[in-house]
Formats: sequence, C-alpha cells, structure tokens
Amino acid sequence: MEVAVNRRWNVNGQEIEVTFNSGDRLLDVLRNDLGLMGAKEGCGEGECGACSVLINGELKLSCLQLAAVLSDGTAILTAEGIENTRQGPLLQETANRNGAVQCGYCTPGMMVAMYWLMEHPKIPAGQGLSGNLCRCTGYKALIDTVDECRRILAGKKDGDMT
Amino acid sequence: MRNWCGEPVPRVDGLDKARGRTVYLGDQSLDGALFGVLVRSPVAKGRLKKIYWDESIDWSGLFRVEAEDIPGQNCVSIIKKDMPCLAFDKIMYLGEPVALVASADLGLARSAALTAKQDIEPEKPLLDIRQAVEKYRQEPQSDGLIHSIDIERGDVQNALASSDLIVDGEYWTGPQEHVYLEPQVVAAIPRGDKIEILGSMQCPYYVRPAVALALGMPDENIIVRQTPTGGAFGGKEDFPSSIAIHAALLAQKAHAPVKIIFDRQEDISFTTKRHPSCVKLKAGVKADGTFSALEAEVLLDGGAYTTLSPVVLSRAAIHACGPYRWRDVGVKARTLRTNMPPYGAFRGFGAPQVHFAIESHVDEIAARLDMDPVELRKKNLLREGDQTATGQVLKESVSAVACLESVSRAADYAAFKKKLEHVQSTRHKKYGLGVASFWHGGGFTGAGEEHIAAEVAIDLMEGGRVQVAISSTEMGQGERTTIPQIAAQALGGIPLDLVSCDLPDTSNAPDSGPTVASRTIMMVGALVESCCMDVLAYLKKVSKTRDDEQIADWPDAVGRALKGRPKIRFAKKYEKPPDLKWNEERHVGDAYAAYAWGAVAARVSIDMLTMETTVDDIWCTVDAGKAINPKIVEGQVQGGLVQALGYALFENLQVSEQGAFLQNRLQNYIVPTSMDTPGLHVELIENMYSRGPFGAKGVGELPMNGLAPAIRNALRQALGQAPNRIPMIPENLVEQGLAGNTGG
Ligand code: FES
Ligand code: FES
Repeated sequence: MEVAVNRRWNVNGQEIEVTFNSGDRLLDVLRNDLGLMGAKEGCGEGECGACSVLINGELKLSCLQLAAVLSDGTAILTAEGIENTRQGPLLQETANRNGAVQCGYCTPGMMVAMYWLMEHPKIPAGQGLSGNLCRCTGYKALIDTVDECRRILAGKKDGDMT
Repeated sequence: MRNWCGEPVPRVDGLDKARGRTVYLGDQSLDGALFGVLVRSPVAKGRLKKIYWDESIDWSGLFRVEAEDIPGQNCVSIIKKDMPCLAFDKIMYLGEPVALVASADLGLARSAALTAKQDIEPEKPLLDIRQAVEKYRQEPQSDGLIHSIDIERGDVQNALASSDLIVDGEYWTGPQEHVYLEPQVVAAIPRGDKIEILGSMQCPYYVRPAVALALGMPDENIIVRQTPTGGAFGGKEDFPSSIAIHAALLAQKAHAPVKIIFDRQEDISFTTKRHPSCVKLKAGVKADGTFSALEAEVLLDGGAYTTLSPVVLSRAAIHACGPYRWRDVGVKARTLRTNMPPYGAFRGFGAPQVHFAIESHVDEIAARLDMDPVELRKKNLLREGDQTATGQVLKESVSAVACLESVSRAADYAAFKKKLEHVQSTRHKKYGLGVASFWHGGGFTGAGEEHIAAEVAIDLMEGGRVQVAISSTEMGQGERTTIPQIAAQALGGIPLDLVSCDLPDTSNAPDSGPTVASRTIMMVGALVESCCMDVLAYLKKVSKTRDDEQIADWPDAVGRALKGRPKIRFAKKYEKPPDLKWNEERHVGDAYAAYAWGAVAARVSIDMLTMETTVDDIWCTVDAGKAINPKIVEGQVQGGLVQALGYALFENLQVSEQGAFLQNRLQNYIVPTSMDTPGLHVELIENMYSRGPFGAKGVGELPMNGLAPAIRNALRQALGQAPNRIPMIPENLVEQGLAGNTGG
C-alpha cells in the first residue's frame, strides 16, 4: 500500500519540503510535485539519461530513483539549478556556441552530466557522457564542450594560484 | 550593416534549452486535461467483429470512442485515404488503434482500456519483407502492391547485352526507428466551435486538414500550434496527424482538453520507421570502367497502409542509380504491402536504402575490374551538363567529384591502402577503409513544390521588429536561427535580434509546406529572401532612400510604413520556375530543382573473434551550397553521420511471428552513444545554387545517405568478402558466412 512520505531536501540550493507517495520515482516528484520540468522522461528505464540529476554530488537517473529512500538533507541538483553554480553559465554558453544543443530534449540531462564532469576532470568526456543519449548532435559538439570548459576552468584555477 | 549569411551565430533557442527552461508539451499542464490512451488490436490481421467493454467497472469520468463515434470520415488523410483513424472490420497490423479511452487519471484510463475485449477472427498475416519479396516475384501483379514506379531511359536490355562486363547484386536493409528523444505527444483543446491542437510535429498543415476531415469540421476551425519539438527526423511528419485526430475525438466527446503522450515502448512499437528494402542491381560496364547500363529492382516494405510510401518510393527510384552517368537505365520500383505498422518518413526518405545498394555495387564492380573504387567513381560521377536517370540535365552546382577528391585527400586514402597490405595478415583484427559517394535532391520530388505552392509572410512591427511567419517548424535543425539570418541579410543586414521566427500557429502562419525533404532553407528560405526584397524596396520608397543606399534609420523607416498600425504583412507565394519540367507518370524530367552532394570515407576495424565492427574515423565532405550558418550545417552533418552509423551497425529490428517488433525499448534497440562516436572530420564545399537563398541548398537528409555503404565497403576491404545486408551486427555477419576467416 502506498503511504504519504514527507521529506526536506536541498534542491538546487534551496531548502524545500515535499510530500509524495512512497512508490514515486524521483523524476515524478521533481516534475509533478516540485514543478521542475528540466529532467525529462526519455525512456523510463535507465537507458537514455534525459532524466539525469545529481544526488549528493553523484550522477543519477531520476527515473530509476525511488524518492522515498532519499533522506532528509539530501542535496539534489537538476538542470535548472546549474545556472547558479560557478561553472554553469560557462557550460551553458559554450554548449550553445559549439552547437551542442539541437532539439534540446537530451540537453538538461546532458548539462547535468557535463557539470558532473567538471567536478571529475579525470573522466574522459566521451565516457562520462555515455549514459546520455543524444539523437541530434552526433556527440562531437558535446564532447568538445566538456573539453573546452575543462581547459578554461583549469586555466582559471592556475591563474588564481599565481 | 552586417553580413549574416555565413556566420556561425549561436542558436536563438539554445540557451533556454541548456538552462532547462524550454517547455515541451509534456512539461505543460493544461487546465482540466484528461489523458487519452489507445486500445490496440492484439493480432496483425483479421476481422474485428465487436469490442466488448467491462461495464462492471465505474465508467464515470471515463470517456471512450469507437469507429462508429467518428463524426467525419474515418481516415487519416495524407496521400490516400486508406488508413482509418480507428479500425473497424479490417485489422491490418498488430497494435492498430481500434478505440480510445480518456480519463483525468492516466492509470485509470489505461486499466479501462485493458478491459476492452475484441472479438476478432484472425487471418494469416504477411509480416516480413522477405516473404513479401518472394510473393511479389512469384506474382508481380498481385494486390500486394501499394505503389509502382518505372523509370526507363534508353534501351537497358540491349545495352546490357553489349556490355563488356555484367555485375549482379542484391542488397537488403532493415527498418530503422527514429528515437527522437521526445516521444510522440499531442493535445487537443475544445474552444467553442473550434479545436486547438498542440503537438510535437513537423507539419502543422498536414495535421489541420486531417483533423478537420475526421471531425467533419471546416479546416479553419482547427487551429494547430507546434510546441517545442524534441527531435523528429521524419518520425513527426505524418504520424502526429493520427494521434491529433485521436486526441480531438476524445476532447470533443469529453468537452475537455485531452493529451496523448506515448511512452518509449509504445512509441517504438507502433510509430513509423524507415522502410526495409531489397534492391537488386544488374550493371553493364565497359572494360575501361565506364558505366553504361543499369537495371534496378527497388522493393520497399510499406507496411499496412499507403501513408507516404508513394513519395518515398519515388525518391528511392530516382536516387537508385547513384550520382553516376548511365546511358541506359531501367528502374522498377515497388512498395509492397505487409501487415506491419506503416513505414514512413525518415531522414533520407528512400535514398539511404538505394545508396546502400548502389554504393556497395560500385565496389563490387571495382573488384571485378580490379580497379580502385575511388578511381572508378571519379570516372563515372555526374558532372555539370550530364543527365540523370530521369533525363534531367544538371545545369549548375554539381560537386560529386570535388567532394570525393576532398574526402580521399583528407582520409589519405592512397597511403592507407599501401599500409593495409602489411597490417592485414598478421592480426586477429582486420582493418579497412571504404568510401561512398552520395547525393540528395532538395525539395519535393517533381511537381511537389508546385502542388504545395508554399506561402511565406513577413510582418513588420514597432521598433523595426520583423517576424517571419511560416509553417516550417524548428525540430532541432536550427530553422529558428537560420531563417532569421536569411531575412536579416536580405533586409540589408539589419541587426539579427530584430528578426524572429516563432513556432508556427496555423491561425497566423501561412502554409509554407511541411518541414521535410531538406526544403526549409532551400525552398522556404528562398521565398523568405524574396519576400524580404519586396519589403526592403517598399521601405526604401517610404523612407526616400535611393536604391543603392542603405536605409539609414531602420526603426524609423518601419515606423513610417506602419503609420500607427501595430503591424503590416508582406506575403510571397512559390512560383514554379518555367524551365523546370516534370512528367510524373513517366518519371521524366527535372526531378529536383537542385542536388546536394557528398562523399564519405570510413576507417574501420573488425574483431575477428566477436565480429564486432568499430568505426575509428569518418571523413565527410558535403556541398549544400552556401552554409548560411556553418555551425548548424556542420551539426546536421555530424548528427546525420552518427544516425547513419547506427543504421549501418547497431539498429536492429526483428519481427516476431505475431508481428511485433522484438526490439521495442532502448534496452534492446541500440543507438550510438558518445562511446561509439568516431573521429568526425567534416568539410564543407560551397557550390552555390542560383535560386537558393544566398546560394544555399538543403542539407538535412544528405549526411544519412552514404555512410552505411562506406562502412560496408571498408568491411569488404578488411574481409575480402562483403555483407550485403544492414544492420551489419555480428549475428548478421556470421549468418552471411563472413566469420572465422582470420587468415587474411
Ligand atoms: S528516462 Fe531515465 S534514463 Fe531514460
Ligand atoms: S539535442 Fe536532440 S537529442 Fe540531443
């Protein structure tokens, strides 16, 4: 039997409180209860990555994530929250300039994966994006965007230190 | 004043998409909306006698529609009217819609739909292109034909008889699913005596008359608005009409908005796919390698209903001879009927199938002549002044040779061939480099553009703002960015941010035709350009600017033209250039106003233990005329190539004995990921087309055409023999006897 679950999370930097059914997927809670439509359902079974979010810094598929198991205090980052991060605007603008955005349906999930790759600079871009399908771009522009942003961010860091 | 054409300006819709702010229809909540679901037939062929519903469940708040409830004509009108919106009596494929259910609760709607018991007398279905081809060859005149096209030029039998060498071959291609990332979605909202349709779609003016006919309403009472579209590739060309009708029928019944959203499994199982094909070729060649005669039998599996198959077949037939000079040609093209969901439009539209055949065949001819495949192509590729199979004289913008030369230079073809002789024999891995040439006619085939008679409009508004009103849609290909670039430039280089092109709404945008056939830039863009020239001439008059001068103050000039009105509209309609001639019945004449050209080389390796093919590098050069936005053009080529890579190597659809696709989820229908993306080396040649906007031709479909045969030809080089069937998955290679040969 489904029961109502109440949680306090930090979503995109904001403390929120939400009540949902115990069987709900995180994707449904984000979209239906929190009105965050960035994460998309492209397959509903963990194959396409359109629903990607970060949960406590880990790249996760929200269509496979039972919401109820995320305890109070869990930090969730969705595509909508990326703009307000340090690397966000750079990633978004570079992606657009490079032609890494076409139809845009994979894009929110891609941006989350790309953001995660900025935090994990050792993982090759092609490998890091391999859980996210894009049918439009052929991936080259996406991979180039990750590489370019990494170069820029690494440069900035070096600059900071001198 | 700026030169916008040729600028890689970032897409206007890109940042919103990157920020996760773009609202697709599935993200939009509609007040009081119900969810619609389809009840589908459980058999592939049979007679439907009656549908029994479980009346013991609570039907309040639930709505249902059957064929007899349809107020207008029970058909999804496109080329013919043979496909019902809801099947009655005859069932033609597994999963054919027979009824509809709606409820505010999607789960409830689904379970109510499941209670429908269909009394069906099953019949034996024809499911597979192999069976269909066999049947056709036994009785070519049977009722199993959806469409036939013959192209004859010269005397092919005589020419074959007098050729030095005759090469035969037969090539098969499988179906391909679009996998647009956003599954099909549509909504219908009753508005008084009108119905508004929202949807992810390519062709608002296909949806409008289709819904009007089924609902028995005048066209004007159906208002169609495209919502942001998460990919389409042809899969949202004709298909949205059918679910738009379903949503409208339910909305009318329930007096409430109804949304229909497919999940991925329903989408893969029951929407259109690329036509499977069997192409048989007999080529007559001179001893020096000159092509003389080609006989082609092009058979496509059309599925259960006509839908777009006649035009797909026409494009296949015309492109079947490849971008080559043949003196005598005989093409027999047929679409066969099977009991599968109708096959439909998919980027390339019949051309990728025939390119797989002819480009593989050219390598077979080269092998028989012991000639280099690149040299053989160069000898026979079409050049300016040559005639195509339909007798069209190519007057301008022909780049087949230039593209091939560019690619073989970039891939360092000659050096690779030398190196290959050493590496081949020592490894359990084999290597190959294959090439293919390709072409693609821009715009509708034959008289198609004349029939569509596209219209565009330009609205001038306060502050000097310019709105381009067209029914062409943005589906990721960059229309909302490229069309304004054309307009801004044609208006004298005004600031680009003054110009916009919104998603179409049929109550505002004139019918500029469907967003298909690589026609949006080449045909619609040309009309926009010429409409802008009228606007500019008018504004120069009202602002007293001399013809050879720039308008000094654009907003002021527009203000003078507006005279206080909120907007004024200029319009332009397509007129057929008088020199283009076409005979539809005989398929003779100017099949397309212009062609885009390309060549591609693929470097592959194959693991002889697993028979898995890896593509390491792809070099591709295309000529689509002026690249209005080179970044967008490059993106089209890269994306098209990776779709073609999937078509060639991974995307496998098998049909069960009942008539269902066995691969109907992304778990088993495998599309390329970022790990499969090879080195992509794209070059653009700009060979201007005099009637295109600033010289542009179409590029959308072109990159889909050549890669599959290039990979096949690379495998031929690696293995010594070649697969003649795609997808070239390991199982298929083994089945064709290509495994186990590690000797080299
Ligand atoms: S929707 Fe979650 S992986 Fe596809
Ligand atoms: S941009 Fe369309 S799926 Fe990636």
